[in-house]
Amino acid sequence: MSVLPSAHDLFALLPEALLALAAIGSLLAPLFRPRKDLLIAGIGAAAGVLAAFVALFLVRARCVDSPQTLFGGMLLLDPFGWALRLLLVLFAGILLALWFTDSHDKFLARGQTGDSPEFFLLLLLALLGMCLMVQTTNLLIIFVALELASLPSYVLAGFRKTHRLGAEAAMKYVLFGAAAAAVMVYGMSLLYGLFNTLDLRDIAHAALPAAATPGAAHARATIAALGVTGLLVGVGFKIAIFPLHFWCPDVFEGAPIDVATFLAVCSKTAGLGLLLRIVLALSPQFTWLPAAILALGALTCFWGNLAAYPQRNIKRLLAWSSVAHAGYMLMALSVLLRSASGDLQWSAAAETLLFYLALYLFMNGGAFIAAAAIAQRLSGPTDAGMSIGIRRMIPPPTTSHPNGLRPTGEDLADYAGLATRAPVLAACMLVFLLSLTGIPLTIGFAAKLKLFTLLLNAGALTGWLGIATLGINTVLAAFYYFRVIRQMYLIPPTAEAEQTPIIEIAPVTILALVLAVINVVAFAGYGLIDWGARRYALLLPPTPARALPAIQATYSVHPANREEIPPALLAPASPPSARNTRSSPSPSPTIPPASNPAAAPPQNPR
Amino acid sequence: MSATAAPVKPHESLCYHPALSGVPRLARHPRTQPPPANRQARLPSPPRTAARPPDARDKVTPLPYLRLTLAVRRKIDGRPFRVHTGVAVLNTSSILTSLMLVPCLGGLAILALPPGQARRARPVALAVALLTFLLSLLAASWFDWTRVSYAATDAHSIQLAFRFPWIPSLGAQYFVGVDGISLPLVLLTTAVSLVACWASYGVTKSPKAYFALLLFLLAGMIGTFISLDLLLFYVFFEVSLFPMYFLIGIWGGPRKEYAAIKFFLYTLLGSIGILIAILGIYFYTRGMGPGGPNAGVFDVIRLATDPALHSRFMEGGRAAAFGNAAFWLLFVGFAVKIPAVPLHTWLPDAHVEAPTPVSMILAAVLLKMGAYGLLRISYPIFSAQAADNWFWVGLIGVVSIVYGAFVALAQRDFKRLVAYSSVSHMGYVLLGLAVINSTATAGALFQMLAHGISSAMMFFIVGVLYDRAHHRDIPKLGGLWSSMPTYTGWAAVGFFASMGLPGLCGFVGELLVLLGVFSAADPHGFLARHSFSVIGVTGPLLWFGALAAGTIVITAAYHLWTLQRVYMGAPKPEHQNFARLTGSEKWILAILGLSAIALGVLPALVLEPLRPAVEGLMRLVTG
Repeated sequence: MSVLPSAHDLFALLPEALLALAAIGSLLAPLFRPRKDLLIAGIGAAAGVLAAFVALFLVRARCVDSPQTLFGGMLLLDPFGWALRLLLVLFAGILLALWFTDSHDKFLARGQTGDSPEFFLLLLLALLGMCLMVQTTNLLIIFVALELASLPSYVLAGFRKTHRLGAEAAMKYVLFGAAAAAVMVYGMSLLYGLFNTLDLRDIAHAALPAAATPGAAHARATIAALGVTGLLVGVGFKIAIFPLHFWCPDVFEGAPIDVATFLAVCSKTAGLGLLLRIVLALSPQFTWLPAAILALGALTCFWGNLAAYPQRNIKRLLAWSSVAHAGYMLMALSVLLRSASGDLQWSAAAETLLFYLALYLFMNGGAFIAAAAIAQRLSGPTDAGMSIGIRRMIPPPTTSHPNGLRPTGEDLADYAGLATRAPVLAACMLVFLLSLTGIPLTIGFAAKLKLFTLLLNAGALTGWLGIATLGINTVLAAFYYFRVIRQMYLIPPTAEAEQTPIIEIAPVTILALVLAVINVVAFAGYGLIDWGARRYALLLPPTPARALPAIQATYSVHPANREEIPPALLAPASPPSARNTRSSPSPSPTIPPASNPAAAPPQNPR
Repeated sequence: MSATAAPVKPHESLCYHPALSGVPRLARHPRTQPPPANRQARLPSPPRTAARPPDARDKVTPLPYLRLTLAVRRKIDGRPFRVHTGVAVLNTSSILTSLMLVPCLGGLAILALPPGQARRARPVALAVALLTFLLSLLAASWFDWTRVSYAATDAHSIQLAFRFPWIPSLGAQYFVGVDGISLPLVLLTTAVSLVACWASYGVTKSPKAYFALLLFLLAGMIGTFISLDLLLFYVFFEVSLFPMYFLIGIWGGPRKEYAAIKFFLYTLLGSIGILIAILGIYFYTRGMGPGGPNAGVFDVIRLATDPALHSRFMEGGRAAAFGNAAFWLLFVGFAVKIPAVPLHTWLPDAHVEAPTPVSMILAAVLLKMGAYGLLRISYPIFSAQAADNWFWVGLIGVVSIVYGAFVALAQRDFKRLVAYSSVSHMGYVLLGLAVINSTATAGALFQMLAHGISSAMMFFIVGVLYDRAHHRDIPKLGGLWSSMPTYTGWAAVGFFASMGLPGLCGFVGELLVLLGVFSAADPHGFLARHSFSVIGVTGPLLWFGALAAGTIVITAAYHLWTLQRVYMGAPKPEHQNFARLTGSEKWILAILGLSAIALGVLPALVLEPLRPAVEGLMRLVTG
C-alpha cells in the first residue's frame, strides 16, 4: 500500500494549495510590473483568499459529509477543522479588505510608505500554517504548521520598518517565539521517546512503557507530564496563555494594526483549535489536563483584564482584552463533555469554542478594525514629505500634543470627544466595546451566554469556579472598556483637536460600520450560529478503537445535566469500514499509523 | 400551590372605583365581547357557534380598537360572514409591544432630525412620551383589574400577552404581558417619563442625543416591566443601563464620569449574578422547555405556577441547594438596584451628578426595577427560599431604613439628602417583601408607587432651586418662603408626602408595611407556622417593626429640619432676585403634588386594583 497520496486525496487540500499558490504568485507577479507591485500583489492575495474560500466549499463534502484522515493520519479532515479553516480564511479576507480600505491612497505615494508586496506573501504563508494547525494531531505536523504560522508572523510584526517599536516588537516576538518553539520540540521529543509514536491520539491510549521499579514508573509519568507541558508551552505561546502572554501587548503595539488584528484573531483561532485537539486527545491519558487548562484560563483572564487597566494605547488595551478573551475560551476547553458515535466525536468544548470563535472574530476583529479606522482618520491628512496612511509612519514631534507627538490616533488621549468629531466611527467602536463587554443585544452577549451554559453544564465545583471567574471578569473588563467609551463620549475634545475636523467618509469607515452592524444583527441569529456550532463540533476519532463510552465527562456531571448529542447530527458519517481500509497505510517502522486499529489496542486507562 | 387556586374574591369589593374596575370595559362592548357569564352559558347551546372551532371564534373577536381592518361582508351559505383583513395595528396582543416600540422609534426619529432642527428634539420627545403615556392608559383601560394574578385559569391571569419564539434553540421567547403587579409600574414609568421629558427644558447641550437617550431609557424600562421571559427580562434590565450611563455621564455635574461608571459597574456586577441565576434556572429545568429535548424554561409564569417546575427548587437535593444560591444571586442583583444598604453607595453619587429629570426617572422608576425583580422573579420562583431567608431580607430592609434616615440627617447637600431618603424609603419595600403576607406586600407595592411620585417631586424641587441658586448647600439656603411662596407651598407638599404625613402618599405604604410586619409577628401568622420557634420568629419581627416605626421620627426630623433650613428663617438678600416659577415648573409641581395628595386621600384608588394581584401572589408564595 502506497504511502503516497492519490490526487483524490490531495483534492481535499485544495484551499491550502491555492493559498500557497497565491503566496508565491503575490511574490513573483510584481516582478513583471514593478511600478504597480503593491496593487498586483494585493489583488493576487485577495484572489487567492477568495479562491481558497470557494475551494473550501468544494471540499466540504470530503471533510463534513465523509470525514477522513490523510497521509496516514497526519491530517484530519473533519467538520471541526473545516469550520475553523473557513473562519480563518474568512477573516483573512476581511483583513485584506482592511488593507485595501485602510491604505487606499498609498498607491499614489509609492515608495514612501515602506509597504512592500512581501506583506502578502507572509500573510498568506502564515494563514496556510494556521489552516494546517487546526487539522492535525501529529506532533510533526503540529511543529511544522506552528512554525509556518509563526515565522511569517515574526516578520509581519516588524513590518513598520522605520518604526522603533516595530523593530522591538519583531525582536521580542522572534526571540520568545524561538524559545517557546524550542521548549515545544523538547517536549515532543520526550513524548516520542516515551511512547514511540508521533500521533497524540495514539499516545492517549498507549500505556507508559513498563518500568522495573515504582520509582522508575513515577519518573516516566513525570517525564510524560513534562513532555505535555512542553507541548502546551509552544501552543500556549501562540494563544498568549497566562505565563506566556507577555509578548502580546508589546508586539501588538509595535506591529501595524492589521497585523495586530491578524495575530489577535487568526493566530488565536488556530492555536485554540489545535489546543482543543491536543486536550481532547490527551485528556484520557493525562487526566489533570482539563483542570490545568481551567486554572490557566482563569489566570489568563484575570491577568489580561487587570493588566489592561493602566494602558493608554488602544492597541495595547485591545491586546490585553484579547488575552482575556483567550482565557475565557480556555475555560471552555476545560469542559470536555463528549460523546462518540460512529467515526466522529462530539464535544461540548468544541461546540462552544466554535461558537465563541465565530463571534470573537467579529467583535475583537471589529474593534481592531475600528481602531485602525480611527487611527487613520485621526492621524490627519497627508503631510508633504511625510508618509501617508497610518501604519508605517513615524510621527514627527510637535509641542502641542500632550505626548510631544502629533496624534497617532492610537493613544487614548486622542479619543477625547470622538463622539462629536467622528460620530460614526465612535458609534462603531462603541458597539465593538459593548460586544466585547458582553452586553445584551450584541454577539458578545451571545458568546458569553454560550460560555456560561457550558460551565453550568459541567456543574461540579470546577464549573462553578469557572462561572464565578467569568462573572467577576466581565465586570473587571467592563471598567476598561468603558474607559474608552468615556473618553469618546463623556470627555469633550481638546480645543486643538476641535480645530482639525475628521473626514469620516472613507472605505475603512464603511468596513467598520458593516462589522458593527453584524455585531448587533447577528445576535438575532443566535439559533442559527448555535446550530452551526453544534453541527460542526465533530472531530475525527480521538481513538482508533473507539474506546470512548457514550458520554465521558471530565468532571462528574449530574445526570440531569448531561448533554446528549442528537443522533441526527451524526447521521452523515459514512460507513467507516470502506474508508479505513483505503486511507490507512501500512505501518512504518518509525511512525505507527494513527488510524490503524491494530496498531493501538484499546487500552483506555480509565 | 397555585394550581389549586381559590375562587376569585367577590366582585363588588374589587370594583371600588368604576374607572379602574374591569366591569365597564365589558359593558362598553357588549357586541364584541359578551360578559363572561353569558359567554359561558351560551357556548354550547347554539349550533352555529358550536360548529365553529373555539379558537377561531376567539380570533374573530379581539378588541377591535385602532384596528386598521378592511371588513368585507360576504355571504356564505346565505348567511352574512365577515372577513377581517389588514393589519391589526393595535390590539390586545400588540399594545405592550407598541408601548415599548413607540419610544424606541421616537428616539430614532429624534436622532434622525437634521442638525439644524435640534431645537425640535424636545417637542418631538414630549409628543412621543405623551403618546406612550396615552397608550399605557389605553392598556390600563383594556386591562381587567379584577383578575387574580397567578390564578390557575385564564393563562395565569397574564393579560395583554404576546408570545413569539425568539431564540428557538434555547426556548427563549419574546413573551410580554402584564398583571396587576406590573401594569401600575408601567403606568408610573410612562407618567414619570412624560413629566421628566417636560422638565428637561434646561437641556442645551446636544438635545437630540439627550432626548433620544431619554426615550430609549423609557423603552428599556417598559420592556423590563412587561417581559415575562427571563432572558428577555435580563436583556431589558441590562440594556436600560446604557441610556442612564450616558445621561449621567454626559449631562451630569462635575463628577459625572465617576458617578456614571460607578452606577454602571455596580449594576453590572449585580446583573451578572442575575444572569447566572437565570441560566441556572434554565439548567435545572432542562428537558421541560419548549425549545427541544434539552431546552430549559425561561418562562417566568410557568416557572412560578407549574407544580412540576415550581417544586424543583423546594424538595431538597441539588436543585434546592442551587435554589438557595440562585435566590441570593438574584437578591444581590436586585438589591443593587433598589438599593439596599451595603450596596447603595452608587446612588448618592449618581443622584448628585445626574441632571434633575434624570434623577427623577432614576429615583422614581429605576429603583423600582430592583423591587419588581424580587416580586416577579425571586419570590414566585424561589418562594421556599424566600420564606427561609425572610430574616436576612428583612434585616437588610431595616438596616436600609435606619441607616438611610440617619445618613440623610447628616447631609448638607440637598440632593444627597433626598438620595439617602430614597434609600430609607426603599428599605420599607424590602421589609414589606420580607414579611410574606398580603398586607405588607400591598404596602410594599404601594410604597413603590408612592415613592415614585414623592421622590420625583423631591428631586424636581431640588432642581428648581438649583436652577436659581446654582448650589445645593443647605446651610447657605434659607428664607425662600418670602421670595418664592408658590414654590415653597408645593415644596412643603412634597416634603410632607416624602415624610409620610397622613393624608399624603408616603403615609399609606409605610403604614401598611408596618401593619403587615406586626401582624406577622403574631404567632398565628404564616411565619410562625414555618419557622423554628415562637421567640425566633416574633422576636426579630417585633424588633424590625419597632425599628422601622421608630425611624419615622428620624425621617420626620430630617425632613422638617431641611424644610426649616431651606425655606424658613429670615429672607436672605441673595435670594430676593430669584426668578418666579415658570409655567412648566408650576404645572409639573402641581401634577406631582396633586397625585401625591390623591394617593394619600384615596389610597383605595391604587390599593383596590392592586388587591387581586397581591392576593394571587401571596397565594402562590405561601403555597
